[in-house]
Amino acid sequence: MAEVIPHRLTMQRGRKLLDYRARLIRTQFGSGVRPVAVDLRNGLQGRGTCLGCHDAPCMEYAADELAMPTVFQSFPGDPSNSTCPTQAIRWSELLDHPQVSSEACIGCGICISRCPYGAISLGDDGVARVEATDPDNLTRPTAAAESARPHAQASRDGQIAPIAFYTMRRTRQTLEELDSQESSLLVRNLLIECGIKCRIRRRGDTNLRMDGLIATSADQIGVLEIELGNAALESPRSLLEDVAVIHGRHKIDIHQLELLSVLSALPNARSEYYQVISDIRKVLSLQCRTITVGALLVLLWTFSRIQALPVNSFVVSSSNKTLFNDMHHYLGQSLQYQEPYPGAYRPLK
Amino acid sequence: MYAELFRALGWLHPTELGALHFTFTLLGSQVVAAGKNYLPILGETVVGISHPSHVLTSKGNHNIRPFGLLLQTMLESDGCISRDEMIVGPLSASSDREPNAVSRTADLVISVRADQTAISHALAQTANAQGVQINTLQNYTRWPIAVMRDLGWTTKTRRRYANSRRSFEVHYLTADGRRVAERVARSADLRLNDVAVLPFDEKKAISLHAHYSMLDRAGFDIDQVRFTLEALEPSIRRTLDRLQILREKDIVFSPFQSLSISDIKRIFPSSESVASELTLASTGESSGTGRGSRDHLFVKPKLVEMLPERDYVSTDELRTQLSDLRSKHRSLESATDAFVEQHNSDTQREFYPLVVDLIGVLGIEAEVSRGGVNYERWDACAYLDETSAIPIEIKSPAEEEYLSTKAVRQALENKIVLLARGSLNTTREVSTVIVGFRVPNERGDMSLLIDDIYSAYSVSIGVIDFRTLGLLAIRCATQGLTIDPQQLGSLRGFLRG
Repeated sequence: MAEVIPHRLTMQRGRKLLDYRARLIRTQFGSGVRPVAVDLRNGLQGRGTCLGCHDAPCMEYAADELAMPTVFQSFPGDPSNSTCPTQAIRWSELLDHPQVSSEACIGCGICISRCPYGAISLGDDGVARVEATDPDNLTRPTAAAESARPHAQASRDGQIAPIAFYTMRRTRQTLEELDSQESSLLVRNLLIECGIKCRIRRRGDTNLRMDGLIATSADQIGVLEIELGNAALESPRSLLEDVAVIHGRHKIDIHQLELLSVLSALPNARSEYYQVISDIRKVLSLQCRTITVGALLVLLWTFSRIQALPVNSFVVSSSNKTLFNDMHHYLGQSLQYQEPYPGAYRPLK
Repeated sequence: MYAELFRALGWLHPTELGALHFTFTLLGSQVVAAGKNYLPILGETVVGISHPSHVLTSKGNHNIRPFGLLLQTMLESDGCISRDEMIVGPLSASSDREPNAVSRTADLVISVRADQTAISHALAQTANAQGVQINTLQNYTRWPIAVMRDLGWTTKTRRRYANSRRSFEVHYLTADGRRVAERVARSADLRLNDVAVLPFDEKKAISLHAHYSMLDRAGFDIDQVRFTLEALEPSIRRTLDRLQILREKDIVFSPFQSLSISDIKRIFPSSESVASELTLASTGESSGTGRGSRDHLFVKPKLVEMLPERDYVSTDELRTQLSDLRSKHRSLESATDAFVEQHNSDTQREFYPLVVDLIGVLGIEAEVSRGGVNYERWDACAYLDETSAIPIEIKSPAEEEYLSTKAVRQALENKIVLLARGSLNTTREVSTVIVGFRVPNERGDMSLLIDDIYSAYSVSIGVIDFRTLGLLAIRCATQGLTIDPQQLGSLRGFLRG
C-alpha cells in the first residue's frame, strides 16, 4: 500500500528540545523594551529563553487556532498559518530555534505575544529578538515523554513595549510599506491574538466579496472589511454587501452577523463615514463596528483579549467618533488616552 | 490553466467522472504533507515534467524534459539565459535526446547574444516557424521564469551584448540552481518511452525506486518504505542493468508525471483514495448554494402612452434632437446606436445632465444633485410622485464603460442615506436605480448581488444601461410611448430595451 510519508522537518512537531527546570508560572514584560523575565515554580528567576518547540507557536498557528465555526468552514480563506505577516521569523535548522530577519521585521509584537516561554522581546531597534542562549541557566534537556506536553499557560505582567514606542508610532507608515497580502495577514493575526477568530480572503480570489470573516468566543459571527488606505467610506458599503452575500449564500439572518471594519486610522470628523454608519443603524438596525490597527496593536501589547463584542462596543457614529470608551474598558484609565498614533483612537482632524 | 499546471506537476489526476473532475495524486498529497517545506518537492516536480507523457498531451513530436534542458543550457551558456533566449533555445527544442542536444542549444543561445539584432531576428524566425505571435511566446515564459525565481534557482540581472554597449535582462543560476542543474546533468534521465516497454514488475520497481528517491531528496522520511524498497532491490538492479544505468546514479523519472493512471493505480495502489476530490467549475460562475435562475432580473420595459399633461419637463430641445436622429436612420435600433456612439466618451459633466434630460423626455421629473452637498449622496433623483423619490447612481463612460458591483453598493447606500435622513420623500419599496453606459456580460456578479441585497434588506435595485434609456427616449419622442412609471418605481434588475 502506498501511503503519504511525512516530511522529516514536520516529524519533530510538538517536541521541545529544552524545558525549564521547573514549571513556568509568570512572564514579566516590565514597561520598557528589555528581555522578558520569567519566574519558575522552584523560585528560580531569570531571562526567558527559547526551548526549541518544534511546533513553533511563535511562527505558526495550529489548525484549531485558524478553525472557524461550521457555518463558515466552506469559506475558502487564505490557508497561510504564518503568525508573522512579513515572514520575518524563520526556523533555523542549523541552530534549532527561530531567527528574526531585521530587514523584514516590522516590530508588531505578534511573535512575542505567541511565545509561551518569554523568549522573544522587542529590541531597541524595533526588531523582535529571540533569546536562545539561556543566559541564566534556567533550562535542562527535555525528556522525550515530556517534550510533547501542551505549552505552559503562565500569567503575564507588563506590556510588550511602551505604547509610545517608535514601531507603534510609525504604524501607518508601516502599513503603507506592506503589500496587500501582508497587511491583510497582519490584521488577521492581530484579531486572532486579540481573541477574535478570523479568516481572510485567499489571495487573488475575486469570487468572494468580503475581506474576511470573524467569530468570537461568545459565538458571534460576522464579516470583516479591511481598509488601510484613504477610502474608509467604502468600508460600510462593502460590509452591507458582505452581509447580503452571506445571507444569500448561507441563509443566515442578517441580524445574527457582526459587521467589523478595520482601518489604519479613524477618518476625519467631518467625513461622511460616521453619518453613514448611523444611517445604516437607523434604517437596517445593523451595527457597523470600527477598530483601528493601532487599537489592535495596543490590545496585543497589553495582552488584552476581546471575549465578545457587546452592543455598542467599537461603534463610532455621528454621536461618538472615538474609541476611548472601548480602550478604557480593556486598558483602564491609565492607558485609555495614550493614543499610539494620531487617528488610532479619535478622528485625525 | 492551473489545473493543467498541477497535472503537469503530477499533483492532480482526472477521475473517471470527467475531464474537469480531479483528485490529488499520492505525489500531490506529499506536496501537502510537506507544508512549509514544499519548495524542494516543487523543484523535483518541476524537473519531473517531461514529454511525451500520459499526463498531458502536447502538440507535435516531443521527446524532452523542458526544465532539464533549460537548466543545462544555462550551465553551458555562462550560467544564465534571457527570456527571449529561452524562447529561441530550450523552449523551442523538440528533443533533448541527442548526445549534443544541450551544447547545440547553448551554442544557439550564445550566438544570439551578439547584439540586439541577432536575438530579434531569431525571435521573429521562431515565431514565424511556430505560427505564434512573439507576445504569446513571451507569455509562455512567465511561469518558467517565476518558478525558477521562487525556487531560488535564478536571480535577475543585466549583461551586455557581445558586440554592443547595450544590455539585456538575464536570469542567472544561483548556487542552488547550479547544484540542481549539475545534478540533472549527472543523473540518468528516464522517459516514458524507456519505462513503458519494461515488464510490469520492472516498471513497478523502477517507478517506486525513482519516486521514493525523489521524496528522499526533497526531505521526506522514507524509512517507513525501506522494507518495501529492500524487497524490490533485486528487481531494481535487474531493471537498472537492462537500462544500463549504474546503481549509484541518481535517476530523474517521476512516475506521477509520466505514467498512465492505470499503471499508477497498480504501482501505488492507494493513491486514488488519499485525498478528497475536487471539481472545477466549467464556467467562471459562482457556485453559491441555493441560487437558481436569475431570469427574473432581466425585464422588458412596459410601455404606456405618454400623457400630454405629464410632459412638464423642459426637454423640448432634446426631444427634437432625438426625433431628427430617428428620421435620419432607417430603424429605431440604428438611430439608438448612433445616439449611443455620440456619447461614448462623455464625462460626468456632460453625462449626468443628459441622463436626467432623457428621463425628463420620458415624462418623469428628475434633477442632478448639487455638488458638495453631503446629504445628497446620489448623483440624480427622479420623482415619480410627491412621495416616491428614486435616487439614481450614474456612471459616465469616462468613469467606467461597464457597470460593476461598486455601483450596486453605492445604489444601496443612496437608498439608506435617503431613508435615514429624509431629505426627500420616499418609501422603502421604491427602487434605487443605477444608470451606466453599458452593463457587463452576465456572469452573475451584479445580478447575484442585486438578488442578495433584495433578500437581505428588501431594497430593490434597478439597472438601466444608456442604450436602453436612449432607445426609450427616442421611442417616446417619436411614438409617444414611455415606460410605465410604476415599473420604474419597482424596478429590480436590468431593464432591457
